[in-house]
Amino acid sequence: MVYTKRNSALFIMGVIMLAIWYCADSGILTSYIEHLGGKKYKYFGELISIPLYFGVVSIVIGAWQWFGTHKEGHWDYYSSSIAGGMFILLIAMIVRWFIAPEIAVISMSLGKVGETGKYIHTLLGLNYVVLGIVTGIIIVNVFKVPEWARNGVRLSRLGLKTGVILLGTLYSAAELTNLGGLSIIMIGFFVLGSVGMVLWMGARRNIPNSMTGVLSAGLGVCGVSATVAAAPVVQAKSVEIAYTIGTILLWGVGCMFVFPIIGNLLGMSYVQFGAWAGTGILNSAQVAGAALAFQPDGIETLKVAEIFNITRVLVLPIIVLWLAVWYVRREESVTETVNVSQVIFAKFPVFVLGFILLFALSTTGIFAPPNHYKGKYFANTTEQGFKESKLLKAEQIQTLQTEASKVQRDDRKAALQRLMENRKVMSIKDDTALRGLINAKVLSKDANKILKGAHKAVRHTAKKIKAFRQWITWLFAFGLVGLGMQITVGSMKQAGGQPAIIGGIVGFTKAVLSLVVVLMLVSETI
Amino acid sequence: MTEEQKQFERGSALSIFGSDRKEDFMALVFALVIAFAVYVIY
Repeated sequence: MVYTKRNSALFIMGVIMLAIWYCADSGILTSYIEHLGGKKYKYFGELISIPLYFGVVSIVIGAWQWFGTHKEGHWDYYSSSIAGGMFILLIAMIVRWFIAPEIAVISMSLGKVGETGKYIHTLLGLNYVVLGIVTGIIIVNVFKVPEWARNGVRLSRLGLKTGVILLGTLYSAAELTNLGGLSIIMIGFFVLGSVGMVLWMGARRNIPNSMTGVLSAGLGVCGVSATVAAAPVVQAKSVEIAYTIGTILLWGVGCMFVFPIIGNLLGMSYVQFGAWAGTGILNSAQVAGAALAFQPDGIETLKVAEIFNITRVLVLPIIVLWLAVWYVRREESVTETVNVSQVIFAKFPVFVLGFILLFALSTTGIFAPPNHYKGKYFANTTEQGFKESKLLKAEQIQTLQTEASKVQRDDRKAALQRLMENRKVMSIKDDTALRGLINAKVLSKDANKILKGAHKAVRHTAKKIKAFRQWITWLFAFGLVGLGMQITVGSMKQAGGQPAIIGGIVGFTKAVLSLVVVLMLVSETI
Repeated sequence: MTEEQKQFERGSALSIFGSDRKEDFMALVFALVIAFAVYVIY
């Protein structure tokens, strides 16, 4: 079978991308960009670069697909996915650059909602991430994915996995030390608790052991990959696997939209929300979706959420072993023996090892100088990066002094005091405390602006790290729009019956309890 | 096998690759290529 069809779609998408680039670069879009926020519009740099590169690629490959002859083979199969990939990317571009900012403009024109002090688009999380997923869901359920794009839509999970691996470049050993302990305790408690709860409920409701076993792995660990890994151990039937995956996806999609709204209403910090999403949401893709929906223009929440998510994946071998022992004990008549270590070796997700590999590379300092993380610029000599012009001005200190009484926490008070005395941030510890103060929004906008300036004066993000962030943002945007295109009404219906009831009860319990624990234990506000 | 899976002769409804392991390795290759490019360019 020849997969690459003679079709003009990819060529036309390339022309559209080049048209977007040309209109932005030549100034045709200037008045529209003014309308979308003017100087506050963050995507102009992307508009004059990304559509140019991908537009040229699409036109070249599109012309070959349209006019060339195609023969059966591997290249034919994989090249047939390019049009679908570009289709997802084009939708992600339009949503991120135009639709989401337009909705923000409309929302702001309607004013803030009651006493929340927030605009409706912030409260509902109507940013490019959520809108991208919704657009995908609408396309697949209302219009259907075009035939020429079908192969490429299946690239979305590849994008998400590549993004997760690249996230390894953004972590520092210090961050992992801070979050690692907390994530291990929380994940350990909630994973084991969820698995135990499903096994207990399954026994009470007389659900087959194979169904209960596979459902417990899916609801407890990391969604679809855990389900697939546990399936041979408990000898699950394909319909049971399908039911479990349906339940996880249904619950995950709900969480992806509801979690950011609750997070905004409760005024959660990035660390708090990341910890909650990484613990309470069942599937990796939806964890990333919720984290980016909560903080669409930054990566801090995603970093925290993914640490929790990856810790959860690392628990997978323990759960598979547990289920193997549990299943053999309950099914005395089991005749087919399963080699547990072989199953773990065959099913353990390699992309998690990729994340660890890039984290190890990052720790050696090849992407950014190790001092980038340690605070290279905190010293006071010019050789060490200190600049006289970066010191706070007298009027800025005056502003901070008038608001200092609003600060309650001792570490923040002390850090603010040292900042005012020395006119610069003096240590990485102070920097962390002051960033927490900014995020807590205790001070006025002007005071926060001064604090942000003081932070930037001492700590710079390396160019390589900025480039990685850009790549990760786009890989996730691509993956999540494609994910939306895989959420069909049929897959939702698949979750019906007992698995959905157990999934709902366990998922809800986990979400609520993890929220309570996060609010009680996590005080970090970066 | 669900209806959706039947539509694809190669790969599955969720991936163009034959197995999760193959997809994971491809993601690793792409990530390393991007990391190398960022390392060289910036």
